[in-house]
Amino acid sequence: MRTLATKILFQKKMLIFWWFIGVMSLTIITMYFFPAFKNGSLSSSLGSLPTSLQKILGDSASWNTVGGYITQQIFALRVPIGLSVLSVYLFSSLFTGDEKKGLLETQLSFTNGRTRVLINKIIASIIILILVALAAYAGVLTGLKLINYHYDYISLAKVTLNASVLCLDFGLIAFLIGCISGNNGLAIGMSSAYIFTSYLVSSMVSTVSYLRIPDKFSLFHYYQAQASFNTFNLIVIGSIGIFCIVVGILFFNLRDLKTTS
Amino acid sequence: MSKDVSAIKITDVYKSFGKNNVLKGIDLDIRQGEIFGFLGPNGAGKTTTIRVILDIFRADKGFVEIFGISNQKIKKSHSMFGYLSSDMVLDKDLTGKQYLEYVNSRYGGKYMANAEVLANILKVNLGRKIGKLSTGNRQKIGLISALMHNPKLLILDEPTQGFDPLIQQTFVKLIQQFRRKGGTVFMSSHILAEVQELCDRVGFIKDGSIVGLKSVSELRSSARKKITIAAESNVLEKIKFQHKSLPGLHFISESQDSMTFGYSGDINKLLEYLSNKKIKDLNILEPELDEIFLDLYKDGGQI
Repeated sequence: MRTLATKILFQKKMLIFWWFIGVMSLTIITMYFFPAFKNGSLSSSLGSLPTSLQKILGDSASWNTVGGYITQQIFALRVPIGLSVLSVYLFSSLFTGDEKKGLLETQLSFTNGRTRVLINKIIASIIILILVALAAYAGVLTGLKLINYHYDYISLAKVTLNASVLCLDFGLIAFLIGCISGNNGLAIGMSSAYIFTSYLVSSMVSTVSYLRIPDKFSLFHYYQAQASFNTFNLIVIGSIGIFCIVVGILFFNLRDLKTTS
Repeated sequence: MSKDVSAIKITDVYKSFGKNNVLKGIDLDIRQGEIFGFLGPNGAGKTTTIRVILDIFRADKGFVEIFGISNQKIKKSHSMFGYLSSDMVLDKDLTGKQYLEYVNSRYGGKYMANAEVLANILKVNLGRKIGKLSTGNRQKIGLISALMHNPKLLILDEPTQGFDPLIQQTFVKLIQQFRRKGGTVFMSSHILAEVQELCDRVGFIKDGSIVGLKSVSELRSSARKKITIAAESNVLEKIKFQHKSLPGLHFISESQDSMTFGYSGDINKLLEYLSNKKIKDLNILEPELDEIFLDLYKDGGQI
């Protein structure tokens, strides 16, 4: 435990383990149902639903191909939701959560500068997110083996990365709110509300025309559960992440720590 | 490091939280090698001052230097001190050893042997998870983490809360040993006996301002001594009636055959005053620091 980041990884080993198992199981089970979806009548029944509802459930037509099923069933909703929950949890508990408990005060009484403490925590959170995203990747591959289907490794890596970067941004929004306010509840609440609202807006925008402008503020607008990279979208998502980190660190360096007594 | 440089220099520090002005121009100069007691009632600003020193709170005005280095140059200034507070939060899911290994890595990774020696002295089991330790044992881990890297300065915020009397004695010995090696201690405390036993100088803070700054011996000599006079009742009545003729003599209480007065002044004048009175016995007690403390805050005055 030479750095704060390695100490956090050591302390969170059980969390990583159980999230890894959970996400991997979820993806294996989801993949296991692919043959039933492909050959069944469910996709045609779902095709008769209103477009807005189809958007929420995912494009049923694409479920007939293994690639479409992976992107729509796993990476359009399940993995982003799981990773978003984890990301918001990490970026709130390790920052404002530790601040609320008084741990941050202890950490800052050593030779750790504020920026160094934050960067170590960001690194640890990113590593945990990557490990759990790898569980989704490994789960899909294992599921494919079980049902004797094949999907390109690189394409799968791209779609996993797209989802991971999106979820990292959600955590970083919680981080930014926490760094400005020092309020753990506010960081979790506001970032969760943003995730929920933006998902709703982006899934409804195709049918509700006046949501087009608000949709631009939704990170889901820039996220495609696809096995390809859209440079513009990646730049937007990346820039928002970097903005949250830089502004968060600046604010945190200017304010007092919220203390327990 | 030049001996002329202050261990801690706090210059004109102001700190407010909203409309609440907590520190109102604090100036303190802690010399190298001294043990400085920082006293004051709850809410006076002791912990806020310490948090400003640690850079947990940022001063609105003024600055703090630790051995001549700004306290905001964290890596340099913070490596020179160890810190312990009464409500220090440690990682509950780590064992004492794991926690101290991490602390050790923060100071260059050379001090684990020191930590083990201190753990033996303080009789704390480093193999148990911190979350399963009692408050006192957690406090011991905190004390080890403050001392293990041989700092030049210790900043202690009510450090012995949770310690049993035996460990308090060990704590006093450790601090005295630390000072003999040239270390400086800045400690806030409510336990006045501890301050009296350990400190060279004390500073009193009240409503965010320093209201007194004296050496413990100076404070004692200038403070009210407790004088108990035993005599026949008519003699005692006469002394009680006339006592205001001696400046500094204040009546406190009486019993059947004795009277107690407070006295702040030249002891020879007191003896001269009593010399022509037929007293049976005279008992002069040195003032306890807590009496001085209570007097100060009761009167609202300055020392």
